[in-house]
Amino acid sequence: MFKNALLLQLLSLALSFSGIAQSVPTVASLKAEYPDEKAVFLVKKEAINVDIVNGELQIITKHHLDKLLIDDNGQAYANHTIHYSPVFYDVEDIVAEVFTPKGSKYKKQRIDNIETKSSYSGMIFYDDSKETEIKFPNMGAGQRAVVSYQENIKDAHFLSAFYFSSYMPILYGELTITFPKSVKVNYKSFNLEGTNVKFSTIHDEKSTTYKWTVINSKSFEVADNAPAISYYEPHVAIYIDRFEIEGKEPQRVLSDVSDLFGWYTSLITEVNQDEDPTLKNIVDSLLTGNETPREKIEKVFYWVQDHIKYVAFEDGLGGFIPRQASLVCTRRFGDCKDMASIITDMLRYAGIEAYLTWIGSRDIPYRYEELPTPMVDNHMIASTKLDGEFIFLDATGSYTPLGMPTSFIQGKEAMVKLADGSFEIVEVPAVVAQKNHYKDEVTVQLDGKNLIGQGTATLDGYVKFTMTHKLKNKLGQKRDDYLKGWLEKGNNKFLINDYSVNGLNDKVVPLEIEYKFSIGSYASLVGEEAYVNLHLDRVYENAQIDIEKRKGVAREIDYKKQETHITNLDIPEGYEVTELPENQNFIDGPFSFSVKYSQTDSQVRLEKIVKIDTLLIEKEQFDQWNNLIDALDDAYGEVVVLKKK
Amino acid sequence: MKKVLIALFVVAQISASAQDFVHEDYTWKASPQFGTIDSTEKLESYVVLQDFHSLEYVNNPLGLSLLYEVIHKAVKVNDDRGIQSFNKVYIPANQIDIKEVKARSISPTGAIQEISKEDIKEVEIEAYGKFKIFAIQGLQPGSIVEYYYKAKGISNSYWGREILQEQGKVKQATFQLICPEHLEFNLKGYNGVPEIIDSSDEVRNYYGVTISDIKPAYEEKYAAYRANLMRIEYTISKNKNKTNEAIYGWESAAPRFYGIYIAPDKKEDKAVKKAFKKTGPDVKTLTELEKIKAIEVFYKSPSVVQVDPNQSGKYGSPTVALEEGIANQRGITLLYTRLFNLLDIEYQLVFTTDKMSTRFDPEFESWAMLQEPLLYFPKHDVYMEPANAISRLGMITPNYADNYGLFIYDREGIPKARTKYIEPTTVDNNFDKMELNLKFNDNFKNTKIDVKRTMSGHSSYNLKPQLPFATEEQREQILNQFVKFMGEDGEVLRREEKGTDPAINAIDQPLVIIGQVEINSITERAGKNYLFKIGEVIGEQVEMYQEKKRVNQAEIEYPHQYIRDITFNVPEGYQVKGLEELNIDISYGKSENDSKTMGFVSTYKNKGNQITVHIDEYYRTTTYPLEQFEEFREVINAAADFNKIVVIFEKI
Repeated sequence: MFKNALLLQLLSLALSFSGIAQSVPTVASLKAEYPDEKAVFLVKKEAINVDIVNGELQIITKHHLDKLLIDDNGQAYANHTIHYSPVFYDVEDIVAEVFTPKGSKYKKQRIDNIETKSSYSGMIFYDDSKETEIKFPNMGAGQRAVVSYQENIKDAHFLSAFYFSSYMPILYGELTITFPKSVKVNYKSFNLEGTNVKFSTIHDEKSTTYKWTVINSKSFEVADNAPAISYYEPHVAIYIDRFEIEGKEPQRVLSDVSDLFGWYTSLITEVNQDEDPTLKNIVDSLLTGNETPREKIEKVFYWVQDHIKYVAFEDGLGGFIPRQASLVCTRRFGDCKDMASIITDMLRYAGIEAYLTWIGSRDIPYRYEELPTPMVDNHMIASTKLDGEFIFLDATGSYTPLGMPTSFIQGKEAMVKLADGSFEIVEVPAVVAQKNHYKDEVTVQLDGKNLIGQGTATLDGYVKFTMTHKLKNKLGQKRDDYLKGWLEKGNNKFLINDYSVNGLNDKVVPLEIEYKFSIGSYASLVGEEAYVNLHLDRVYENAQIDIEKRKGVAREIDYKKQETHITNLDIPEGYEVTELPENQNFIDGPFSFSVKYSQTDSQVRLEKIVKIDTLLIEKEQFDQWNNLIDALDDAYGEVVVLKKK
Repeated sequence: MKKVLIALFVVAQISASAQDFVHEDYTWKASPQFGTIDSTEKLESYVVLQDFHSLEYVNNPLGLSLLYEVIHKAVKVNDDRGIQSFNKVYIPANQIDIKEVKARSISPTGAIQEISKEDIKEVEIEAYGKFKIFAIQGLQPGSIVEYYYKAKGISNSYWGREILQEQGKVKQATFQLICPEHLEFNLKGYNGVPEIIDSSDEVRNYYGVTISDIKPAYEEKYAAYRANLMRIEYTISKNKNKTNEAIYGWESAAPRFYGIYIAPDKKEDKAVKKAFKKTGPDVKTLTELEKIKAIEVFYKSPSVVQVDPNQSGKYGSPTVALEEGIANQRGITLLYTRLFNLLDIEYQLVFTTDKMSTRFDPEFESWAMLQEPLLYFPKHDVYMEPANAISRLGMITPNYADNYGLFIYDREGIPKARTKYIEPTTVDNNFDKMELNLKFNDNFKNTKIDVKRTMSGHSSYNLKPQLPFATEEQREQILNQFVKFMGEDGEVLRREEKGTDPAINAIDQPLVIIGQVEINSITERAGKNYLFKIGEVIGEQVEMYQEKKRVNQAEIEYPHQYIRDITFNVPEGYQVKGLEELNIDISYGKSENDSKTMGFVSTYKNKGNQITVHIDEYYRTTTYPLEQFEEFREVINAAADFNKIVVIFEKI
């Protein structure tokens, strides 16, 4: 078995070499195979070399990228950007060349247009990481952009993942890691089923090499609301388990979760060692002393939510170490770690034990046990225990009430630091659909072809927080416009005449919007009959998933959700109802809805409830989802008919 | 060149002594005092208490002027939104030396927190360049954010504009321009700026204005929001040391820009000629107009030359453009002028502005108006836009037309300049015609619609030239949208295009898309009868509502019209009801007796079993005065009204 695998490996290597040296596939043949692509990776290669030099672990990664343009408009694909944080990585020996075909050979031209600048993203206010941009001159089909460089990894905790697919096809991809006997390397692969990624191990006297290769890998699937690519694209994550330096005890790096925890803890030993009188005073003034533990936690958490604004500075190890609570308090701003720091410190003054807690957002699919590395998390919160249950305190969400996590950490594992050397991995539960409830009930009257009416929209859970955030950030006309857009129903002649919002500053009670509205030209009046479709809100209308196009990529949903829409139509004087559509009930997997018509002497009523009870629509559920939408679309096509008596 | 500049700068810095700048010692008050805000202002998220901007030109022995700038801003933040808008400050630091930055917060109780130097970071943001950034500490509702900075640089221009109005209320704004006595500036205020005061002493001229209580400017639909903001344009007018003649006006622009863009340059001309002969299109047998088109489509291909989105200074020459395939506005314009010189094709160089941002003022001679380069071919009376890869001869960015421009040309070897109105395309050029033929099935499901859509001029202006560069998938997605506009559930059964030649503009050759769509959502069931939502067949239409008093006149980018012809047969066994609603005529002229400038006119005919509906919607001019706004809104909304019309198929 092993022998065969190796043979195959060598064969593919030989093929790839001949590919590089002599016969690069023709542009025409590649264009035929990949009609939607503008470039391909002939080679995408990473070779990691781990060694012990002068009693220290040395990790060097050599990158080699050979791109072939197969379209004259593929210029953007030639350029390459290297992102790195100079605290953890050095980048050197960058060589960039254009290969231009000349007869059966290539003419090489060295490129010097290489610029390094600080990277900037809107989310992080200041980030010390760098971007080295390699810009190629204008190139056409047949030309190759070849880049190689070396990355020195300064801290053994920061190896990263290698993807066997990319934003363009990879004709030959290769990852190797070579390490001496004194080093133990672990790896974990993801989404390799159904791919042609091959793995082999090569031993020689001194070292071991793990090697992965892939041939003709298609480019990333792109789909709307897709989860992060780590959920579905093939990749392998490598990490150093331990190493041994002659004459010394073996040194564990990331053997298991306790090592990760130990390392994280070592970074934060200095945090909040001293008492801060200002902060203590604030806590004292917040509390009367008669509060229950729950009330104490609530007061502190809400104070931080309300007073500390999110501003992130990622500066060196500052990206990993929470700032002192006293500084966060003075500044009145901070990032997630800073908020966790001030919450735990304030709770300490309040006599409540609280814990710094590492966690990954939903963008990261890994669990701590399967991959005990910093790749697992990207966020920090505080947590505490109430009646034996963990409560997660994430003040980066300004409007979540106590007990509710932010939506992007639902279902994720949290690593809670109970004490030095003691931690617990706990799962943050996903909030159930009924808690994220949007209910909108309206009563309408016919006024000629127009509808006039009043309604009450009640928003709870994540539905509420999103709305609260929007409303707080919009005033005057902008708020009016936003609400009009949100509540719009019937058609775009929907107008709000008057509204009031209740509960905007209350973190616990649902948000309530009462409004008066009109919908122009909504009903059809013909002869003695009036036609009115009571589905004023057509949630998820035509929202079918195009299964063929989506190619199996799951669809992410921010949160589980339930919607209730009720329309009460006053029957106009002298009219009677002659047609009432049938009731419907639908359930398929996590998706369900019900449509219920009823009638009294004075009113016709439609009550519709739609429930989405999952955070991710997996490919196996696409049909169920589409069945839901088809059935909903059918229901939306049914009209109530009124006739003069 | 860059090195020389830096060297000069160092020398200049040494030679300028402290007293050279009026505001060298500018600072804030140790204990800040700002006026109070009233109860309505307290309801705003923030109020700008003070917005001070001083620009000082300082002479130095080397002839280059130094520019000394002071910006001092104080903002009262009333709520979280106000805090979030002002707690992060970005100071542009491109080619300018930030001498001093100070920032602090003042709490409602008067506690002051000043930020330290270490908290000021420098970042570079793609396409915007370098910034000094910092976050204001200790903010709470009711706090004041206050910061000022002084900056020093070499002035690379003697003209510019200052925008004084923003989305929040400004209690007091001051703009100051100071220069040595021998320089004179012209300043002009727009959109309600009061008179600008000028004064002078023996050594300096001072120009300035302080405006109190500037109203917030809200964005409105169909309005030139930026162009209508309060602003000041300024430009140098005289340098008494050199000449008593006006400088940097239209007349002086002629030799300057002629020299840069039109006059021969041996080296560049030679390189362009060589490259054109070697790799350029073969134009020998073509007419002059055909030559211009062939050159344009060739050099606008992304694989030949691309326009640098960052407008980097290093891509400013035609030789670099040809070698590296990338050019900034100047480089690409030069490439075409050199090519047209080579082929002996007569042209004029034109500079204009984007009319929606800053309307070109032919009365105010400022080089700040010379923003967007165009080429004008007088023999053919057509414009070309060099720096826009998706524009084609005869169709430039609509906002550059319907605006004045400065035309630079050669009259018997002498460079000349004059301002002239750039005519926009007409309503007959820009039409979108939809011919729709519907066939209903017995169950009123899966209705089939034959669609022929002809998009002329700006209706498909930016689509046509891009089509050859789209992938098959993108092409499919984009073009399908143009045939299945009647409902999200529409499915395109077949589709083909005509008029796709990327070399020919969309007026001379409109894009035609012919296809068939299958759709369910245009019919609904009501017992044994069916509703046909005929209005939805034209696609969703903008409904315009205006609750606040309208401030801006209505303004559109270009005149245009929509023509729609809908045909269907009444299904057997049914009679149709409600057709009379399809007759609509909402149309207006400037006054009652004038010819119509805008309208939505719909009529139907019933011939046997076949119903045909014809719709004409047109906007013949680009501006509609404030007093006509309601009429404008009525026309826009008439289309939205039509979109709601439903006819009934009643079972016989």
